[in-house]
Amino acid sequence: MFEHGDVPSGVSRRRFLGYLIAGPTVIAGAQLVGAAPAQAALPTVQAVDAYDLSDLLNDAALATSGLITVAVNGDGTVSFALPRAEVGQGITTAVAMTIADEIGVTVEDVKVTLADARPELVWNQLTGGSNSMHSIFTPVRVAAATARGQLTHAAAAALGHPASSLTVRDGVITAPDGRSATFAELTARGAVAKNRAVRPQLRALSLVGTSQARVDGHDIVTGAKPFTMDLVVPGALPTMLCRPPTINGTAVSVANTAAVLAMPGITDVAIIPHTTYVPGGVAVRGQTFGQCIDAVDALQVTWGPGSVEGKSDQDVARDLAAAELPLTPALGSTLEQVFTFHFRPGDPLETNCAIANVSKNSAEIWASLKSPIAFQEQVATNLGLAPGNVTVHVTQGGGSFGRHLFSDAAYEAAAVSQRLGKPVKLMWHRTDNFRQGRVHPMSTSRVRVTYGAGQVIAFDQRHTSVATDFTHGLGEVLTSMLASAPLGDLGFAEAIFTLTQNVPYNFGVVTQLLNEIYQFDTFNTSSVRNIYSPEVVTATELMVDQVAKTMGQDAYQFRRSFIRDPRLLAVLDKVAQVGGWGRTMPAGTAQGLGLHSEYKSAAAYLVEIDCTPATVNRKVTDGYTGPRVTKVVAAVDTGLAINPLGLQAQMMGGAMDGIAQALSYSLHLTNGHFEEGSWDQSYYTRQWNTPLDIEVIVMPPTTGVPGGAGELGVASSMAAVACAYARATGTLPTSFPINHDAPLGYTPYPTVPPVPDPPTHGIA
Amino acid sequence: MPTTTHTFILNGKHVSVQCDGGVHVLWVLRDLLGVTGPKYGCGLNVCKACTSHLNGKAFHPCSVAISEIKPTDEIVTIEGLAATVGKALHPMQQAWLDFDVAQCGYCQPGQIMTAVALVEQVQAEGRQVTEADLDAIRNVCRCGTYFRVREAIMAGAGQPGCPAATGKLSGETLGLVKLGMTRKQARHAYQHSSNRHKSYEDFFCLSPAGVRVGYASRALLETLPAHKRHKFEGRVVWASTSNPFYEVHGVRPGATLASAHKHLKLTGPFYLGLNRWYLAPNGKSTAVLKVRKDKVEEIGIGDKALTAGHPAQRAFLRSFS
Repeated sequence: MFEHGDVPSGVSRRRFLGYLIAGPTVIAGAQLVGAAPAQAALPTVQAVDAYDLSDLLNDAALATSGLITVAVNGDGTVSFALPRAEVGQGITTAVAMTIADEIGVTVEDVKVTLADARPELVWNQLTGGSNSMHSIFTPVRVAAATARGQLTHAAAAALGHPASSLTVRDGVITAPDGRSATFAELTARGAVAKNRAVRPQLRALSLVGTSQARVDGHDIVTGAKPFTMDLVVPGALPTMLCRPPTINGTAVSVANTAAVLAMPGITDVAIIPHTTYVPGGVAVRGQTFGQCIDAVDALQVTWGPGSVEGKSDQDVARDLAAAELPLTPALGSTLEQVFTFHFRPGDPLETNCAIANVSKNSAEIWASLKSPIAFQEQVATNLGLAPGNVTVHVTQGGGSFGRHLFSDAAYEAAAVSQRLGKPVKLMWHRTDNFRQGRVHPMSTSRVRVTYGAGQVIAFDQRHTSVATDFTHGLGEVLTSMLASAPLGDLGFAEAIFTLTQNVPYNFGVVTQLLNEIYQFDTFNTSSVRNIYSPEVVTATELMVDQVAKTMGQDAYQFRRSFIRDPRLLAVLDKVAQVGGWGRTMPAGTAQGLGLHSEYKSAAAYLVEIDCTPATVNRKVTDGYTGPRVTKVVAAVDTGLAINPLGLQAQMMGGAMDGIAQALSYSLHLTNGHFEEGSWDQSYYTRQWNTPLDIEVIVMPPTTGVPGGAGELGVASSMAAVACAYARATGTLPTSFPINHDAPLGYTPYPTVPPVPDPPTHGIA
Repeated sequence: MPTTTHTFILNGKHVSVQCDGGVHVLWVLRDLLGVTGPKYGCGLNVCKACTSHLNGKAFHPCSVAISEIKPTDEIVTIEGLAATVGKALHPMQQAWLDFDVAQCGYCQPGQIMTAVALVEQVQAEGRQVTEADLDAIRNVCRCGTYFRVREAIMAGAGQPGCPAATGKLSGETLGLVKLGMTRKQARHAYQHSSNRHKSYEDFFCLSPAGVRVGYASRALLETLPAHKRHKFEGRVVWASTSNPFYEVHGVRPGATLASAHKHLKLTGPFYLGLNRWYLAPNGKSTAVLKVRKDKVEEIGIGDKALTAGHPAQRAFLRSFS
């Protein structure tokens, strides 16, 4: 909540103009001119301090922000087509709140839909880098304020009172004498015949900053929220692909096409070649997905080799070790350790899916896409169509975690639809998603801390990773923006690494360098939630604990004395206080701390872990138990929390990710393929791994500008869990997740056929 | 298998569908009948996103062939859940909204159907839901809503352990809590609680309509002279309910604001988020009303000493938001 007038002044340093746009009702847009960010002056100054990924994405969005418009409808409701993807992060709720607050209607009266691909927005339709609210908050406010100003102007004429004396609330404008007019009555009167620029008055916010339930909550709990596979597109029959036994293999020939075509319900069988954009295999189309699964299992396919034929985890580990950049000679006592982070799945619960209807001259595609403009342009090229003849609808996504920056299923659906000449509703099998889907790349992080005389003199980190694929919209933003960003001429990956990574402590001379192995498409990777940070921060925080121990200092007090960001100090102090840092714990259990700042936000976690045999050895059928994080206390400062309730959810979800990545969740590469094929094999956090107590503290507004939140919680929670594990067991974990090197706890599915037979034990 | 006609009862209605008997129920529901609440998450009976009810028990349509379903079998999906209790929402769906459980929402129909079946099973066994019951739930949520799922199930269970509403709202007492109680005492009076991530509030037996209790926050204490703080520190200073079984001077939850004005000497409104709050003298305490869209949603009592005068009233109400 803000008192009147105490809205943090985050927007004041940007000049802004609103636009009234010609139309039958009040339609308002916004355009912004960016101001240069202030330079920081701190003992340790890294590039990220002054100019980070959020700044870059923000500046990329500024040029076309004027095309963001809100419309007041004839019934007094307000519409906004959001040029971002909703994938569960709650952005539709946060945007609806912001518009409602600024324009003066209830949240229920704001209708936020997801915009189709709009090429004229250029870079301003990318959902990534936890940047959505940061970049869109002010333009949305300016547009809403412009609309409110125009409605107030119309009301002043209608009610015979000066605009300054009117109050606007819940879609009603009221004069001092009590007479009033509704938005519905005023919107036609306020309409303009010609576009014109105005200077709107932003007002003090009262709804922003309060906890609001999700706007789509009711549709979710009644099963009415439509995801891609729930949409009805005439003729778009279920379609699946029989996929290769090794990563990125190619279908050469099919021995039994006629037999498969004769199976119940099946209408089509066709080879779809593997390309840069299309994963490919053998497509089958049928009346039901169940019949498609049966057909996939029945296909007899000859496969060509994949992109990592014969490779296993240890081969990649060897290649990583060979590619590590050297450390410079140390000038003092050192602590040094290398940490390994194995491949982890990057997919949401909704598998890759899309609907496509490609005809001779045009195409229409439905999918959850975070970079729809880049997709629209590329798919048009793939199909041999003009981009203007390809309509791209952005649908509600069942999770993303970075996955939907890539549009693999949509490219594939378009290719299949074109090949068959029929509409298709294309869906991946879960096992396909694990084995051929995009993953968080395997990496190592070497950390060396040089210390002496009670100080840390130098901190060196050499991060070596399987290449992360940035060839999506984010990459194109970088191509365009890097020249003007104050970074010089770095490649994509180095630029992202430099823009996101930092050591939040006064550790003297700090170097953090990235080297990558393989081509971007050797493995199928993506910038999975939080990109490099989970690994880099976990390695850093584990070493911070080691240095503190070596210097005989408490882990919390040590962090306090070296931390260089007051916001990070505040969240650290908060979790230490609320979580009772340093309390006496039974043997085999311990607390751990982790902190991280990114996306103009700061987060700290304090966790408690139970590594006692009674807990570790719990038996759950077909499930992995292991150590259990029993308690999580998080504190988060996003500068301005639009919706604290949604932010708390993000931080809890981030912790579930952090727990999984520290303790249990990974893929095993064996002979060119991943072994895992189901959720009972890849060991993402389940109820039996869930903490029994979670508290998330949302800090009061600091900067007044909403920073990122969607990815923020992963790195710091993973680090906290790793540190707690080290303290509870007295053993420094160096390979993550900690169970990865143990024998497999399940029997892998065969790779041919690629999809297991559907079980038949669904009635208990 | 040859194409045959399969009939069964789906969400209270007789349906029939033609397909080969080997097609699994999930695809009959989704692809042939257009019932899309049950989601596909694995097709391996692992993720449980398709969980629905067969004759009142949880089952997993991805792993049952339609040939297994008899004409007398009753299948209920998330779309038909509310109708089984004759309401717009099943209490478990309401609990899901109360706790704002969902993120992307993809797994939640399955989570809710699992939760309802679990609670019904546990209650049939004459016991309460335990942490072990919750640990045994296999539904995958990749957004990581697990903790709120647990909270909502406890609330949505309408736990037998929840004491019945006493209807007593007078002076400094509302139900089983009294102003001035410690948090421990309040939590002892109502065993089933959640703080919904608010540091200074507890929500007791929340669903369908329990009691909310507010404790003196640090911000509130700071409005008091130092020597007066200890009296309120950690104590119940506010209690309220949306249960229409309670009334204050004839005003019950659900009443209109106009009728509240008739019965109480209201001061306010105080705007907090979407709600408006009003206060009124109530003998030993101050009556507190939460109003949304001109309807009284909650009634309660607040500490009289902390609600004297407009600035104090404002600070009091804001300290809970």
